[in-house]
Amino acid sequence: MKMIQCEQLAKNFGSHKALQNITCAIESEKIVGIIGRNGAGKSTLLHILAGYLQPTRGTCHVFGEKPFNNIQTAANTIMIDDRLSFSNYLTLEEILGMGADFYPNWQGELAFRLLDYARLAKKAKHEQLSKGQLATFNLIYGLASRCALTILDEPMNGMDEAIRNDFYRAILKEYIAFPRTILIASHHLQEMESILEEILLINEGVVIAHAPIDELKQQLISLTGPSHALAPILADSIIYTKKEIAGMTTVVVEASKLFIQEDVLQKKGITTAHLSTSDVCMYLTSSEGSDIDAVFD
Amino acid sequence: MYVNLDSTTPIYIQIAEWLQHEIVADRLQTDDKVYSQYQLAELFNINPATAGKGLTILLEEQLLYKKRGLGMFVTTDAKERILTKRRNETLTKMAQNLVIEANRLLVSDEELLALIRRTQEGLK
Repeated sequence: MKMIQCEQLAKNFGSHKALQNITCAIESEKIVGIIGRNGAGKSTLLHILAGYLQPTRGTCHVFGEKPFNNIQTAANTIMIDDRLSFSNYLTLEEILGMGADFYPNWQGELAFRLLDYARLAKKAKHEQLSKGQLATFNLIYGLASRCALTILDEPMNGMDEAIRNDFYRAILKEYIAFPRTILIASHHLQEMESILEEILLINEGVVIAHAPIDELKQQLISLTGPSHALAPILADSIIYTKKEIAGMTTVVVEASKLFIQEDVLQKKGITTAHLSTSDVCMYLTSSEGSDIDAVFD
Repeated sequence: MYVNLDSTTPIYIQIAEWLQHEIVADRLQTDDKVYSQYQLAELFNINPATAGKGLTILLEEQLLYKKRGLGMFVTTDAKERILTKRRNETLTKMAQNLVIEANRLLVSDEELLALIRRTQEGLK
């Protein structure tokens, strides 16, 4: 059975359609990147999965049950974001000390070692922490809880680069030690993509792609060549971007729609290049004809 | 250890290439046990599934063999097979680039062949 199953899931906030149609299935024990532009609906989806929000339409099952107001979901899920709140009367040490009361797999010793490593003061209060320290503490809490479904919404926001790299590795090591489903929503795809297995790409409340990371990366390809040589090849292709400099054109198109061998292209003076995963995601989610230059024309 | 995983080649292919490199360099020899997908994941800071895909490539090319419950091991002629493949593929690709560049520079076929012969003489 799938860990997460969403069918035509939609969520409206008044007249605003945050999620329009999300259909996806996520298997257990995978690290999945939830990627999308600002306002794509990532957080709304994660809030529904965590049982914080009720969908407007469609269905959502986590562990085979509807997550909203569900004690089983609550016991097996943790959602980490910058709105996570703890009592202001408690020190970090006290918060971590109580983790075992809520989460059966709680790793208290690991939590304190990570706290030390991140140079967070045990006696500090949660509300006194800086933005980056808060994110670090929340992430430590999320990892130590070892929940079967661990949801991290922008977990690295405000953290400096060194600590971000350390904690991507911490997520990976914890996952290897105790495999679980980890969903990470982030705008820093480039720095975290190596630890991901799959990407769920969302745009305007709709799933654009859900694929293993390497498959997604190879979905688009960049071609550069003389404009007259490119034109006949591209007749049937969707062109994601097009730049022309001195008679040479560079386009980004779907790799699967090109039925031409690389050496044939080469003879026509056309060179191919692969894109980074974050570029592929950017092109797949940018609206047609969107070009910042056009704003200034 | 970290390798510099570049951003455009799929990571599992980079892992497969790295393993082949280790075999060519004799750091992994016939019947040696190869890293598990979890060891590779830790070494390169990558998802274990991605590391597994890299190992599968070598398994499919019969550069590795599996022993149930024990892991994967290097096959007898793995190194020789990698070298043969690289000679064929890499050299063909380089020859292709050479010809394309020669055409671009309006070098005739005779001139190009003469250049290759002269280069060979020079390196003897």
